[in-house]
Amino acid sequence: MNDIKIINILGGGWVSASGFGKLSEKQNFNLSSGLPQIPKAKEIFSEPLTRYGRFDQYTKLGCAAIALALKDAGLEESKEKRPIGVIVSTVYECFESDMVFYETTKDDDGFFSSPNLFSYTLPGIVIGESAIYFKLTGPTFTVGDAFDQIGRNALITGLEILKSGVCDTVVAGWLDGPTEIFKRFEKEDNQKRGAIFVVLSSCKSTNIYGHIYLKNGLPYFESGREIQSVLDLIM
Amino acid sequence: MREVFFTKAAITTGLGGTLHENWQKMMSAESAVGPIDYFNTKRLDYHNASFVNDLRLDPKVNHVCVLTERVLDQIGEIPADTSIIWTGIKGNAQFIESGQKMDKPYLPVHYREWVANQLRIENIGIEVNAACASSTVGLALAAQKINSGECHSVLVCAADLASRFVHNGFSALKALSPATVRPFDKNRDGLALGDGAAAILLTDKETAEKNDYTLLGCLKGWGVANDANHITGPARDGCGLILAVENALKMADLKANEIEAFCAHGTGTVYNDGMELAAIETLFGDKDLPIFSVKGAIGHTLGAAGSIEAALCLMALKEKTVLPTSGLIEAEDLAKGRIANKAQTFAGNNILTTNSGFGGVNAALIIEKA
Repeated sequence: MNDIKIINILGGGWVSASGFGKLSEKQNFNLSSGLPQIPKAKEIFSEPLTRYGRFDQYTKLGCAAIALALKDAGLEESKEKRPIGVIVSTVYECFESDMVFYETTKDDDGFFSSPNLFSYTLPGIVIGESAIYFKLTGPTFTVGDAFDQIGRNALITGLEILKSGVCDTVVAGWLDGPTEIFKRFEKEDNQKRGAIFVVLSSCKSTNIYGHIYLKNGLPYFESGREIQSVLDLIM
Repeated sequence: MREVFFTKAAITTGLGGTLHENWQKMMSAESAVGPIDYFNTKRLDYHNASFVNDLRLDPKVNHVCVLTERVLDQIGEIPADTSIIWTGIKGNAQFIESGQKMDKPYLPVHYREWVANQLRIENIGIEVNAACASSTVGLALAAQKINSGECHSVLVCAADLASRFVHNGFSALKALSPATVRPFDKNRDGLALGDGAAAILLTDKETAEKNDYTLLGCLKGWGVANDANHITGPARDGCGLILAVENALKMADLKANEIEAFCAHGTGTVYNDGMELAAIETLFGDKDLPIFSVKGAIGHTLGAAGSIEAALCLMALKEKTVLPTSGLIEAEDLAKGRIANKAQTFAGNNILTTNSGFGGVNAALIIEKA
């Protein structure tokens, strides 16, 4: 039981209120308060992503950070579909987009409900958009986090998937977009907003930023220190 | 690798309050899909859904919790070290529709905490959202946690409502049926939503024996794959579903010809059912494989669909019978000889159940008779 399988970190990307960056750039990551500074499409996507302008803020934020992580890992481009998974931790999901869609349903019994906005009322649509652009066909879904976990459950789930051998590379991380509504319900401390993703792989690579593993369902650095959140991997 | 067993299963839908009641009514090809009374649809082209009729008596209480309570009551006591996986996907609809006049916004994390509190469980686990394949992925993850030895017991739990929010959304996408939901029919024209909840307990064998649980079925294999095609439309060749099923077969160490029955997602939309039939053709060729869909009977129960269907598969394995597909009149060409509006018997011990969802996700489970 619980045989240890060492997993490589091939890259990482993040978007926060202080900007955006990649693990390889060794910038000082700062999860400062405030709205994430979502990059423009041309700043992150080498091939045009024409739909980017139509994305809601949650999807833009997530796609940008996933793109940065894949670019950092040298996995941005592929001519063929490939079995890479994407696991996203989120607390607030796409709640803001739900509210925006609901506004369109209010008049005339919903006659004017927006089909485009409805499409973005599921938290996994961001993964679908990323999967289409980057040709990813592995397991893709979101998992919840408790308010202070910041990607921990995605990390654990990603490591579980890699350990099981279902696929050999997973993009895992955290995404919580702007949601004004929650200021009523949660303490200011919980108002963390941004996106951080890492590319985890059981494959060898020329660029490896670290090694982690899963033991008894918990994530650890190779040094034996427990990983509390994806922040630990990027800071 | 530990074996993973279904040891408790409870469902509630517009058709019935228990798994047994649902099974009996589905065997008679009954349908709970009918006119919508709970919100106005006058300006829309779509007026049907399946409702649990006594659910919305008190507008101040959370209806997802009320529905979930009904399946938790049936499940009864579970091991104290059980982990929870919540797979409901639109639990905030009532909060939004109420004008935010509820005590909290009902995020998924609130539901899994609520379930854990109801059951006095310490390990509140995680929630999973894979759109309409959420329960299926939840069961797969539960199996993985037991398989690896991380958990001995996992409760996969979900409830979703036929809400105005989602009805209007599917209406805008023109994905609803203006008449009768007819999965895999030549003249199918859309889906209908349905209230539904499910709770399924998966355990390892030791836990089942220790608690004197009946083994209802064995989860032999699972697969999850994205088709990387379109956020609301499936790949027409079924490539994502094919990949998910192939992965499940590989994990179960089975060949396609060893699958004896198939519980399809079968929403009744032109594109979903067409995609599934293309995948079935590729995977199973001319094999004699009875298939069925329950969405004509209970509507599409969103995040609960996968667990409801897995529970019905346990009954199918026990009875060696697949359910009639309610609403079916004339089968689509590729479904002919496989689907029927009456019950079909089958031999063998392995059943496949799959679900697909927005965002391109596809999930497959292979369940073996215990």
